[in-house]
Amino acid sequence: MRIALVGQPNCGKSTLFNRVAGYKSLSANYPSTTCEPTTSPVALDGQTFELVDMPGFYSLASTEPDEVCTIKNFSDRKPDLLINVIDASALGRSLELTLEITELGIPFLVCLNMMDEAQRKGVVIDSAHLARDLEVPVVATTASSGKGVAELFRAALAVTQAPVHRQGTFFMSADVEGAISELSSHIPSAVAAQTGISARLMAIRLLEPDDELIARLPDQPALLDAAAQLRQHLEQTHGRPSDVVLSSERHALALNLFEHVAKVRRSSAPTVTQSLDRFVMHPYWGPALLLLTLIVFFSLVFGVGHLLETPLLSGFERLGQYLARLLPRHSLWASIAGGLVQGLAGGIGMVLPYLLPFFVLLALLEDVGYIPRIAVLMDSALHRIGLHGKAIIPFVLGYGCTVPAVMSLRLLESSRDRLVGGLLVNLIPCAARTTIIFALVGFYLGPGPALGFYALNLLVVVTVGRLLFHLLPEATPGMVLEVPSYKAPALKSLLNKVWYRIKEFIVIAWPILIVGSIALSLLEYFDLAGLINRALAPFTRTLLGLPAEVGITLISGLLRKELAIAMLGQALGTTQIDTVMSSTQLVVYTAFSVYYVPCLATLAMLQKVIGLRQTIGVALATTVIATLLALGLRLILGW
Amino acid sequence: MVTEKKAMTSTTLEILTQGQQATILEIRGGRSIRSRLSGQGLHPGDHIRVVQSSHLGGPIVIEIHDVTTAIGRGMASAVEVEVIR
Repeated sequence: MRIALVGQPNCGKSTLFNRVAGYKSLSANYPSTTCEPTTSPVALDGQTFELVDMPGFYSLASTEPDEVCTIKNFSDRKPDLLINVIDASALGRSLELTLEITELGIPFLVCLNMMDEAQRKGVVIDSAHLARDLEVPVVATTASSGKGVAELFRAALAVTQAPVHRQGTFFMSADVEGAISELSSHIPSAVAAQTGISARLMAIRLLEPDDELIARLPDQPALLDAAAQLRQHLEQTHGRPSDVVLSSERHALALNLFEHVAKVRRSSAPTVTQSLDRFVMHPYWGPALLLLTLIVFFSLVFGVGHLLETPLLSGFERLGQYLARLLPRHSLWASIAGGLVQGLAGGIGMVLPYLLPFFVLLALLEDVGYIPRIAVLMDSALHRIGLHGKAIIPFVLGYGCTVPAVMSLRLLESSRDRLVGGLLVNLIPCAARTTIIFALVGFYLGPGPALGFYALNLLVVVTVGRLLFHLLPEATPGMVLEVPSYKAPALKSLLNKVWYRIKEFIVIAWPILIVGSIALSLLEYFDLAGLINRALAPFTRTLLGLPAEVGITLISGLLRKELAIAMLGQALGTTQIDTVMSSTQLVVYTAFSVYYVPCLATLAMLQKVIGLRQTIGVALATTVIATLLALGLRLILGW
Repeated sequence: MVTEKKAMTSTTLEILTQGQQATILEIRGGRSIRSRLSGQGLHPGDHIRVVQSSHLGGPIVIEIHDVTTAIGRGMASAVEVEVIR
């Protein structure tokens, strides 16, 4: 049995899902964090069912890609029962989707979530009355504290055992209903059965018009013709596009229902959220607070990360030495074991110490509700590179690790925005790239040049962004973003979210790191480094003016960015790198290794989010950018 | 007469200032803009209050049906409104 949670973005579906499914879904205090349906088996009172957490969408009539995909999932594999999760504090708006769900013909019940938030806003809902009007069970919950969750799923199981057959239909105005019933009469029953939806729903979709449905009916010219005529008639009599006519009708029905079942006691005093937002989203104080937040954020990430990294790395070093003593010297096995330890050390010792505090702080900012406010503040700046405010989220994440940054690209609506974001986010120095900058430029040339690298980086991001803006000018329709109320973060759900993200990183990145690390050891064992260096020499030595020995380190940098520098000492045969490389060479090498092809873990994730072709495009583009930048620096700083 | 009065007070959401209240008259723009705005609960006849006006080309933040929503400037210019006060 499949039970699906459906609802508008930010209504608490994922929090609810996590309550029962054992923390598998990602939730945050900003809309649309779930982008692919997450499924989990759930056992309750001796019964088991499959629970699906659907991505949030505002309307079944939506034209946005993510939402369309959700609706498709529906028709592909219909769930047995829907739980329509509603943000009780935004009941009026949420009921529009509920009314659309009544037309689907799938049994459902309503979960009135965020009852605490509704109370704070002075919205009092008579859930029994709502249940009577909708003819389905309504259960009130506060998923964040777990209140009412068990009752909800008991009610859901009860519905699956004794399905409720709704009798009534929420009728729109007479002339719209006239058009719907006339069009319904034109729909052959075989066609309705084939699409799996009722004739009424099909008529509504054809009137909207739902282009995807129309594309599926090429052999029904008479029906499409009738739909076009009725649509034209509606548009003429209402003086508005037919999609606006239908959504306004649903809106009126929803508001009517809302007034029936809810009372709003508005207080004149501003709420905590309203008072805070005066400051947080203020044109001048807002950016100042944002800057301060980011400074504290990154100081903490690097401070804690450094504190954890040192003991972990020395532990792995001892493990490596122990294994080296245990295994025959220069044997194949010793080489494989060395690679394995290197791989583990990279994943656990070098990346995790920074990722852990980063995820904790990020989860804190998310759960409090600061992220959408950052998006509001950054919207106009990001418009200059053809993106909108929401894109700030992957960028901020990118300073920690590009992998979660790429994951968050799903927040952006259009594939064009995801591609642009996917390229730009790979130009942001992640913690590993920061390691290279600090260990080479910072250590040998001083903190000034290292900071210069960051200034240069912003210039590169803006330049490439502007360039992409001209190359791919498809204007984004702009940002529409719900700004949720501030919430006190709950420790348990916060830690669970951190764990979920770390787990996702481990699952995708660690196997690649370990296998790659072993492959690298084998290259060394079979003494192939020289061969690779010679093959790369025209590029490394002739073009960039670097020692040919760095060739192999660029290959290992593909695996993990900071591995390039870890290997550099070995490749050059000295830890005093400044004795064999000039300042210019250090800068050129750093620039190239920071910008060229993202690491394998990032590529794997990027492929999942934006597709293979686009990922190859990003890899090529970053290599070109890295080469141009390295060459430019070489020319400016002298041979 | 009525149409004349409308023409005098109707403007777009984009240029409202903080604290102003207005009624939505019409949502212009293409299908995708209309669908996104109606999804967020913006329909002709609805009442809105401006939480934060658009500055430096940034989005305008409004309150509608008890929900706070940020709307990019381009989209906000597609929403025709009548100022109440």
